Amino acid sequence: MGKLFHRFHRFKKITSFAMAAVMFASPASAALVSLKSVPVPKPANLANYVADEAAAVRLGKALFWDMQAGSDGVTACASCHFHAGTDNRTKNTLSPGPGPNAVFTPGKGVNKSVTKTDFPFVSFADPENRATVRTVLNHDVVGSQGVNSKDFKSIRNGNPEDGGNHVRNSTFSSQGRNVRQVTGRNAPTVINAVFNYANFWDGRANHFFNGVNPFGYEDVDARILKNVNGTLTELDLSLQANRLDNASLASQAVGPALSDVEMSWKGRSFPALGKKMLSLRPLAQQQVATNDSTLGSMVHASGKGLSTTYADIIKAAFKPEFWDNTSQTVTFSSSGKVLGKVTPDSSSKSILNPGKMNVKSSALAVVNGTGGYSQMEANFSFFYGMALMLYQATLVSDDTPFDRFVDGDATALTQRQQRGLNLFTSGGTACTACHIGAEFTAVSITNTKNPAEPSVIELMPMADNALANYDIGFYNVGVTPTAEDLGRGATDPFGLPLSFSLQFLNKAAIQATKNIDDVFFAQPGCLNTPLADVPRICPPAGAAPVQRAAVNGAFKTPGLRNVELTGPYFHNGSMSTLKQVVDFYVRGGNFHEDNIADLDPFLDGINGLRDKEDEQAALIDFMIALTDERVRWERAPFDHPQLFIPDGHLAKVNGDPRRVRELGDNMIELPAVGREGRSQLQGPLKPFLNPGGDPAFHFND
Amino acid sequence: MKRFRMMLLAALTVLTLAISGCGGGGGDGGAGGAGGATNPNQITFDSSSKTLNPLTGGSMSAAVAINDSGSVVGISSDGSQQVRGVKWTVSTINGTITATTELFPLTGFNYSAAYGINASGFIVGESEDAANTVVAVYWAFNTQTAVKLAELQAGKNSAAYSVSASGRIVGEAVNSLDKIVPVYWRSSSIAPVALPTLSAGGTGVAYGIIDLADGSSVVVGESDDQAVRWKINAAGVAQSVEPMGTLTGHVKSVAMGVNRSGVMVGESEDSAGVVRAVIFKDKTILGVIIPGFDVIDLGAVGVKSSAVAINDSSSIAGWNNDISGSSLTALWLANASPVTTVNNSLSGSGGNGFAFGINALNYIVGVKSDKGFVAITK
Repeated sequence: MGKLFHRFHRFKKITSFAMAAVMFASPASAALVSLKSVPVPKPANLANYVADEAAAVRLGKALFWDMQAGSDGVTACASCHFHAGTDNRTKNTLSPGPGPNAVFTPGKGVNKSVTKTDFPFVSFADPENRATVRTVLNHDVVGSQGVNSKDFKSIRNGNPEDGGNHVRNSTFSSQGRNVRQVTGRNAPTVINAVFNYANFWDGRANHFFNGVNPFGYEDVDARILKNVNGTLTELDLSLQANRLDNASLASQAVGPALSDVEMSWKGRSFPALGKKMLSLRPLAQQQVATNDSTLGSMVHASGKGLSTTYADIIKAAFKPEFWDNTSQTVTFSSSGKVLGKVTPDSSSKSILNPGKMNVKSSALAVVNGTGGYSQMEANFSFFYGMALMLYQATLVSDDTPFDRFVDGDATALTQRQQRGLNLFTSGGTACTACHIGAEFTAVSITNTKNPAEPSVIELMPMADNALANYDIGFYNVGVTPTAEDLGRGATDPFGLPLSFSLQFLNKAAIQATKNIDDVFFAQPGCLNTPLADVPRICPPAGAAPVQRAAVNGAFKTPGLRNVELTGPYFHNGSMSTLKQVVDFYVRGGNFHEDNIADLDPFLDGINGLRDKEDEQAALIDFMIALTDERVRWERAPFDHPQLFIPDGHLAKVNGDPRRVRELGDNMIELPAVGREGRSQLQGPLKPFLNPGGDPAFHFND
Repeated sequence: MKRFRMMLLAALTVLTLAISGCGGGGGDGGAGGAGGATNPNQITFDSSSKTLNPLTGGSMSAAVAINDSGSVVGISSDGSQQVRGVKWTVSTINGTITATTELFPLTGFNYSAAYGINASGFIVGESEDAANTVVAVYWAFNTQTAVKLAELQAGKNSAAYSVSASGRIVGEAVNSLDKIVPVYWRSSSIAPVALPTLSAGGTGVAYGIIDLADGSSVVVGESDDQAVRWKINAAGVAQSVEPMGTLTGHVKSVAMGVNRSGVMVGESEDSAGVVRAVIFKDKTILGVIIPGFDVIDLGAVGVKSSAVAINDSSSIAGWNNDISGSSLTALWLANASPVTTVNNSLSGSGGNGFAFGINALNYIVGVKSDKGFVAITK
């Protein structure tokens, strides 16, 4: 063990001293590849479920952009992912952060606008020296505004707005009325998210899709329905034969749709959402360009929405056994929240949720939302997740100056950008310790399934010099105090740890109460540093596994493609420019000492960049070379239907002040864009808080 | 038999009084005093409604209730775009309108709203309070200082929507289970009681109250998504809750206003969320009140409408959507048969308009295009 520490810290020391030399070494282009060379990951079993992938992509794009999916008939998935795959709104975007007792920083709060001067949320007298005094300490989060607080009552067939009852929200309220709630974390981009082994900042969107919710095998009761010879039978997607791997995006997609902050009024179920969407014309309130790269051929004569139904697209996209039962309906005895068992399946799993789902003859079904879901409605979460995954799998930005450079176009990067690339890949900055590969993240499927990476649980001495297990690609870098947001260290709704490390360490206790297959428990492996001259760090042979996990406060390493356009940065959206991000790493984080027990050991400050403004500018310039012009101009596949987006509230009440308990929305329009992208008049997408397109924006503190 | 005949005679007498619009007392803007025309053709308005201006620098106002003296209460934004309770006074002689008077929130806070006013000028509404809560308050006659009404549950939200001539107040409050329940204050100095809901642990809101000649009161609102009525006896004690139903095939309803004849108004909602203006009346046989309620449809097929307030002449204020989906203020005469729609654009043409209150003179108040208005009869 001592030898292990010695070797690791000797490496850190060497890299520090060798910084200058490494900085001026030639780019490690041999080790760098274009994203074009990385296959887009998809489930190995996909063909068992999907009949026509192109139809599934059409379904996914329609659902992703359809405002009717929200309980309010306004909030789409895209409402938080409309700008380079993320959200660049500035009004009513503050949240006091996670936790019931969180309060806004004095002077901030609901329905306020953030400005350049609000960033970064944590400042030091010397931005490059964390030993200097903190001059600003703002614990708020820049999130995305979702829906007003309401209790779900029922869907209203043909009406995009669900029936619901007002619930007063003591945090998200103003002028005696609710305002739209804001998420406790910043919205990550959906572009290139298909390459992630796990999604959401805490990775709770499981790699394996269970067909129902984000938690994969952690929900032992999740089932979808298969029509077998006219009888609805449960299908457990955690079984080997049924398993959907590489499907974190499907797991992710079914989360926000039922979140009572993001898109749903509290208590809505996916079958209810399905029943509503199946009663509505796709995108009926939104214009769709006739040259939309995916939906153009289906545009309704009115110019609004599609000239088809969701049912027809589902039938085209998915195999019939998942939707073609017409003789039975399904009812849910527990408010439809969890799909339970229908009839015993072939697994040996115990029935933990008996009676939650009942099947009966459709002739006995009650119509109009009071019960009796069709198979298509009951399986809507499955269709929704799969279709959105396959649509987002098309959102790959692999044509950047960086990609062209590593593919052999020496002119694709400027001299300064090449210098920045050198710095990025150098041991001195250690950027690639986390932002590795063509995806620029260690949480990529490429990296996690790399044969040279023995496990998704790795071992390394953390910043406090003690060995600990951690989840590959998830790091505590000291953006916020660890206890403020546990991130990967949190538990799921079923009481299981989110992290592979804690699942492994608690395996016996978990299996005592949950019937989870051994195959889902990862084993600790070694650490392969991205630096070739450093030995692997492995558990001592024959020694008992290290019992410590460093997962609290750890978050998914985001990919850096299009980072120019995807601000604000980090899980709390606390930095607005890339210079602020570079300063953060140069000083070694905001809460280095506070988070030391869980802190990534590479967060030690970058001495070689301290007071080197030219070098820092080169690094930033390289990151700007990660922008795909198709993303900047919303050209195919990044084109989209029209979208109306709530952008804060007006001091007005739309209706009877006694009964309307929400402030009026300030709506903005995102016009429909076809495959050719934005017009010159519209101009390209701009960075967050840089509507004028100041080219120096990202180079400023 | 003799006893039955006497009951029948009494019931017929009540019915006759109801139709003629007689009655005593007076409530808030939803139930003005007696008087006004009963023939729809006799109700004419000034050619255009008058705007009830926001506070200086404010961009928005809305008038919610009006009493028989022409005092109007509602909300307005101020120069900082903070919403405040406000009062306007409309001359019943020449229709002139006084400057907008601010009804301040509780000391140290920023938000207030005024929703009800009785014949004595006693105003009820709500104010921001500690910990970002909103609580029921009142403003005594001719004062601008809010006084907090006793809370049902300390630290939880509440609101007062209507006050009767005798000072009984109704509204809503969040209870210990974090449910919004209907509440009733016997007076401004007495702790509220939660009115019964249709289901145990249910929810509800009380929107309107009016005093009757015998010292009792009638309260209307909703519970568990159904229009309901509560009676308050002469001693001030709340009685059981009575569901009033919906239009046939509808799934929800709410009652917003009541007059001294016992005619109630509100809306009924179908499964697609389309609301229709309705009248709720006790069922009768040969003039004898029997259990149950008649729900009378005031709306046009296929468009949304709502009846919000009624005076003792059975003139009803509310709103109708037109086919384009724009809302137009509306006035119905409930005592015509069939019920007559008198005017569909009291607030003038163009822009969305909603009427929320009506007084004995048939003055109607509401909001149109984000500004409060009053429509004045000639």
